[in-house]
Amino acid sequence: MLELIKKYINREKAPEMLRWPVIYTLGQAMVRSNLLRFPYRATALMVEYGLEETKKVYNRRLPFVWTSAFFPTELLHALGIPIFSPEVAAALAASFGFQEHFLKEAESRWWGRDNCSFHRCAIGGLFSRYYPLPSAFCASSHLCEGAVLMFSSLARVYNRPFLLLDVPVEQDDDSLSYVTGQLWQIISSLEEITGISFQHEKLQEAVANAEGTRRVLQKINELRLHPYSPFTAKEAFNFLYLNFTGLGSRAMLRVYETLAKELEERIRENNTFKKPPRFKLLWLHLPPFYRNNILEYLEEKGARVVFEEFNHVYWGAMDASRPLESIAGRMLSHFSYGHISRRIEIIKELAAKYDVDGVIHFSHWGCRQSCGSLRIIRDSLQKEGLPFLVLDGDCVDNRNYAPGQVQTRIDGFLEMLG
Amino acid sequence: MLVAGIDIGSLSTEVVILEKGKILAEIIISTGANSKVAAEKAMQMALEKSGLARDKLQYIIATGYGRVSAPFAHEKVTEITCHGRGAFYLDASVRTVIDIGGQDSKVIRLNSRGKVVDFVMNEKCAAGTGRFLEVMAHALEIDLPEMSRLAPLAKKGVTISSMCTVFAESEVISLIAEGCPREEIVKGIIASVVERTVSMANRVGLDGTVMMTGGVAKNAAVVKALQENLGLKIKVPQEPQVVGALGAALLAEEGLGKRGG
Repeated sequence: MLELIKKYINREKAPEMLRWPVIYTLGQAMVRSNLLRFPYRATALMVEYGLEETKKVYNRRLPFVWTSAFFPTELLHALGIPIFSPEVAAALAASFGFQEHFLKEAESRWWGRDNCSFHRCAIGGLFSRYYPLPSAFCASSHLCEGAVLMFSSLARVYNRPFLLLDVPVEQDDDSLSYVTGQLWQIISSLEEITGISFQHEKLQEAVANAEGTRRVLQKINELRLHPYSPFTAKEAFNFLYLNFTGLGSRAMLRVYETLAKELEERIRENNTFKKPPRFKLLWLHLPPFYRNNILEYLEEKGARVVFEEFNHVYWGAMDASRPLESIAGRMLSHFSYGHISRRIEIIKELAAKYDVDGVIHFSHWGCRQSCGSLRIIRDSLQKEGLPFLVLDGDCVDNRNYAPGQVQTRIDGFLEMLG
Repeated sequence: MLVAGIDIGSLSTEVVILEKGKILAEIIISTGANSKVAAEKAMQMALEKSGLARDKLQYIIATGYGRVSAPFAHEKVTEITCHGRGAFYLDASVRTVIDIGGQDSKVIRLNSRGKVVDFVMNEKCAAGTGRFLEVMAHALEIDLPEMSRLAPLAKKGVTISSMCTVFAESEVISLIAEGCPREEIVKGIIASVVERTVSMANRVGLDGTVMMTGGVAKNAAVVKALQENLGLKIKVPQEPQVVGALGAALLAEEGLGKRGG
């Protein structure tokens, strides 16, 4: 089936076909009728939601925006503006093996291989008309500077508005009012660009959804403490789609509520792993999204990733009566932003909570904010007696992936733990 | 108790046969294009040398990048653990092992019991490895021992700035064309390898006796330059190339001992 789809990737008609609503409706029908199998009902719900959102962004009559990975999606869900996340689209392209075409397209247009592959893939997708051209490009400045530069460039190339949320490093009252003020401005700009009127109640509803989601995520993370927790890292990484696009939506809350219930059920019914792993591991940063067997190989060797840094609920309670301040507070409290001690404390906290035997950091070529501090993280973990493995690689571009070398590093690391 | 360790590297394959901690045979051959054939051939040669039949070997551990190419092995262990084990056996004061092999290089830190506690490996490409030296020697139309002999004759050495092996080779060819003395080029090539190794050593941290293993340890000029750069003495065993295979054989013996074999 995938090979058949791949055949179309170079065909002239393929970008146009993505704009056919029937494709998404058909996909949704297949999900609903169980023609497509998913490990959880929640996964099926997420796919159905994803298809609905994708149908909207490919509908030429509706306004929609591109958002960078850490942009506050609550605003867009409040306004009812569909979201296209180029980083998620790049990960998806990689998981289906379509990324090479997009990467080459970007590289042939002067976006060289030194640029982040998430962004190169997104650019290639847009240039080759597979990815839809938005009404505006919305980026936040924290964590990923590459997205800011890419979005502003594309906005210039396609003559579309570029909205930047500048998030300062300091976590104080001044920063909070600074970010809150910008959020108001962004809402106003989006109203102007899309013609959609802002309603305060909708924003309150979005923040209430985000708060509900936060609590359910915390519950899921608690359930994952179970020694035989059935929820694998691979599944957890799949749900990241929602973390980057869905916060503030009713759909994300519903998916995670369903997931929490399913996990509870499975644990109650002993539908879990039958034995604890030999080694429990914490995964830092993202995984590669193209076909690879890293997580399966670890499992095969008796090591299991029991938690991922990216699923940590880092932000505090959100108050629907102070919606923008709550969103600003969430932006400012990201564990990976600001002084490195913040991230290290969280890593140590997670390592202790999940009682891990070792920590793996997958260093994506383009994420400088993540791999720039490896030495400090390593030293801090070693002080705690926690072995640390760095896997240098690329989340999207499999041309930077050498399976044999990765396997030797993993084997060496596990032998060290044993 | 008869055991064997086989280290199938990208350039060479080594076998060590042990009997109660005593080396009965050690073999080094070139891996060539087919690592499976090389593994079989090296094992056969080691058996012939020791006068043993294959079925006398109670346990075999394979290591090296080609460890999956030895179907006769009972277990596969990485070269990280094997070089660490082999080096510690040769000298129990060793806490740091620098292994520069054919296509990868690594620095391994051991604790006082000889257990690996940390390691780093070369990233992304094979710059600074045995293959790099081999390609450069080829460009200079000399062999590796000649490289080792020429290096001390150099005055300052030239700078080889390309990290990519192919570009570095072009750089060397240009230098030859410009009439740069070969010893100066050799010194530059060695400095390039050493620079990468030093940065890895600093990443993992140096401790206790430092031992160098792997084929490149036979290159006295590399060892000397490394010593000068790191500011310490590096111990090189009599046959550094078999340390991985030796470590594999020792692990085989220990494993067998634990299992009561």
